[in-house]
Amino acid sequence: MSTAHSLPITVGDDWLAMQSAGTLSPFKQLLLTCQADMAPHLRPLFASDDHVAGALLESAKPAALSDDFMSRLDARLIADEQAKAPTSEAAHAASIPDWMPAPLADYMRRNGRRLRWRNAGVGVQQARLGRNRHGERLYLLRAKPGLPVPRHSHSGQEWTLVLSGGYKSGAQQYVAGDLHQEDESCTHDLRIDDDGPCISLIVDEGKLRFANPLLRLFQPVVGI
Amino acid sequence: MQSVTSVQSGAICGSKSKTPAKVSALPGRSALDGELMSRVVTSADRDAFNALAMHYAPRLKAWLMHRGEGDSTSEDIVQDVLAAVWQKAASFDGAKASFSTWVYRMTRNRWIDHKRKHDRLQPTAPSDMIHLVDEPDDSLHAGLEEAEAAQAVRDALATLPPEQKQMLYLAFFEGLSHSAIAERTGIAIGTVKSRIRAPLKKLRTTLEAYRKDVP
Repeated sequence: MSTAHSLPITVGDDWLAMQSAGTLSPFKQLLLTCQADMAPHLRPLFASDDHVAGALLESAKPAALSDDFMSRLDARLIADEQAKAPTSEAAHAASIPDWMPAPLADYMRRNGRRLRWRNAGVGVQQARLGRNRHGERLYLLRAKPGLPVPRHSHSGQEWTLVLSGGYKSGAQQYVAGDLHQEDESCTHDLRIDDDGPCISLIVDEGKLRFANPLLRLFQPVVGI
Repeated sequence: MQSVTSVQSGAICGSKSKTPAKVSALPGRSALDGELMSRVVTSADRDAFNALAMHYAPRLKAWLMHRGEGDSTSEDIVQDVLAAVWQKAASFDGAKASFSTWVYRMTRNRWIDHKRKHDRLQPTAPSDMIHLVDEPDDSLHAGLEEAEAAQAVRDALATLPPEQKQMLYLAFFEGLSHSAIAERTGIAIGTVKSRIRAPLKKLRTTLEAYRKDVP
């Protein structure tokens, strides 16, 4: 876990409130869930706003239920009881890479996805995991040790959760468990740590915008 | 069934108009809910479960409808959540969270699950997302009794000025963005942001201070 700082880097208070209210996109919710899985000591921070929401729920204005709501619920519980069957996920668990947080593994299992790395430039591989109708992309990036990523900005927001290894962005060090947010207002370059490959889970709203025209030329080919 | 029932005593109510929501003292159900869940866990008491369902189902349905779900879909999701409450009752730990926080989290996660399906993407199981905060045993605050922390938040919430509580209600319960709250209430967006950030900061500080005091 993090060595450069005592607590992993996460999103700000406004984003935490959105996470609690359920108003983040599902991909970003998944990213935060993965971070909480990797960094249990962040969970109380995430829990704070849920306590507020729970307290508000207790005395919130109710909506009218259908007349048969409770009888349908009763029938549902009886049916669930009769259909109860033991399940085993041991075989799936055995195939999960050790760097993959459990919520992501579960997402991939339910989505029927396999990890398929494809080259996305020199020293970089990408595994696409999904795209939603809001224009967001979810994918993994694996970069070789010591790799410099040229100066670039972003089209829209980009959230990066470091799953293993680390990198430096400007003066800021990011290690496994840290969540790095960028948007179109930020231009930066990165350098992957020398001591091993870096694997990150990324949600973005658009592709990178490289400062170098030559890199922009090749960008459609590499796909990032 | 799109309509909402009349306001109950002690309820916090948003308004479709620019009239500020009415906010009164929170009655607090934590002890009652805990007792009901204890009966569900220890003796599979269906009456106790039904009492919880009768109170929370209409409010969870309202929460979902505020997020744009239809009447039927909202009830389906609430049924899924309540079925999970019954099936997973043994995993409820009142020392970690109040029932209202637990069932709120399950509903939010089930709704996210629903949204993923709607986006043609497969879900992450709600049970996996629950452990966002339901398993803090190995945290820095391993000794924290989260239910007591929740009560501290509830107490602090009760002391907030009505206008701040109204903003929290609109943000958390109705799921409105800052700009939508500004439009709804006729209050400047900067004021909306400060009325949400200030009480949240106060509540988080309360919680952090409480956690530091817990051995």
